[in-house]
Amino acid sequence: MKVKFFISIILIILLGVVQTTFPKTFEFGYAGIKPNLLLIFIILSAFFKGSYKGGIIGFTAGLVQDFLTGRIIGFYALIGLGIGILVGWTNSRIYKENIIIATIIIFIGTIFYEFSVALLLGMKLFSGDNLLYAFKFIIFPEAIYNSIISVIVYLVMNYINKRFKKVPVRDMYN
Amino acid sequence: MKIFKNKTISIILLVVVAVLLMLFTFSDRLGLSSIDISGFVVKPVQSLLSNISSRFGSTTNVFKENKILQEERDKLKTQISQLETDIAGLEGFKSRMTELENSLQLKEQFNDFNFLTTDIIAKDAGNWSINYVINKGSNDGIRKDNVVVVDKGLVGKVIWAGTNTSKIQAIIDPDSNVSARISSNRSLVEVSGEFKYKDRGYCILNYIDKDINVSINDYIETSGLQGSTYPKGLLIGKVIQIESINAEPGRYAVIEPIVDFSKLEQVFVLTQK
Repeated sequence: MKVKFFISIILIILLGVVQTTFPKTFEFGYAGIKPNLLLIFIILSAFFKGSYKGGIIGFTAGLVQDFLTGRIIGFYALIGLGIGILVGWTNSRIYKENIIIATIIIFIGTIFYEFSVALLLGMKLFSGDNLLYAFKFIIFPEAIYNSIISVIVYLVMNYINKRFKKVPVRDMYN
Repeated sequence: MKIFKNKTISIILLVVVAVLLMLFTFSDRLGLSSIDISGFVVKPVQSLLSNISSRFGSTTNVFKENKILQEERDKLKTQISQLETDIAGLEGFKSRMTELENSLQLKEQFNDFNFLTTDIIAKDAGNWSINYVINKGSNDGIRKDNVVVVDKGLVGKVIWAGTNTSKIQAIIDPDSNVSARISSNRSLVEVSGEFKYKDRGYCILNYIDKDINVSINDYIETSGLQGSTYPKGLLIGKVIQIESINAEPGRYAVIEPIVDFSKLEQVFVLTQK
């Protein structure tokens, strides 16, 4: 139990470091969009494990992001906690064996998350055509990029879940 | 995990912790600079990864001919930027001829600083901010609000100085505001980052007074007014576009910074002697 906890933290820090040194060659689109590896991890974890664990993972991942490149410590931790809880809500209600469903959750989750982040960071989304720009060049491209990457991560996580532990189906009765 | 028996209480606890952390960051009381995750655990890994990332970028050029053309192009670019800097210098000098005394003060101002060379080891994790982490911190004399430059122009300022690493905010970050002047007519303006323009590496002149003359190719430099973070006379960039809007004050200008933020690897921090 404690080992799993420790491994998660190491993994989150590793993801954070890769996220902040993400090579420019893989930044696509007009606005040079990179995916959000930490967010993918939070959403998939919450999807597989529910609101409580998802919330904790979201908090931790957000906190790591705060310490690495954040301005106000606790900012991304709080938002991570929120998205973890929110996505975790789907854990007992949606069939998890379907990769397409997971991808859709990532897509919608990213849109929701980045929209909230933009608002809370003070981007004036509601003046002029800022909202359109934000969605067209930043939020949607990132959601698509995240979805593509999540396919791989989903396959890995699903495999781990089946191989080493309780079958995902059992989470429904927790 | 067994300590947290009630799940709801644990979640509420986390919320409280997060809010407290944010408040402490604001009032700077906890001295969270001592918790330097970047410096202690991550800096070596980040430095290594940054190295690999930049090498990966340059090895995608397979053909040698490409490389030769690239080198030539880079040489020409350096020449052009040198010429641009010369032009900017000349324009500023023209109007500053009657303020010889101020020019002398300017020289003395830069003598007060050390130029500290640092490498960028990380960029902001998200797609909304233009912030960087550099590999030196308070141990090397860096303090919050230190100005960051490259040899040509202004990059930004230090927003957090840890023991071994620091975080800097670029002038094109949406949160950044720099008090500035138009070099030719000395009008006071403000250079701000804007989230629509940051991706192309540009920023804007917002809230331009009605009676100020702004034209394309005007050079913008820091104003160095009393109490402002940035010393006087640092080159920021030049105007490349003027847009009109419906709200007051009717227009804004797009600035192309002297610094190419897409190619930043090494920056200088101006620290106090």
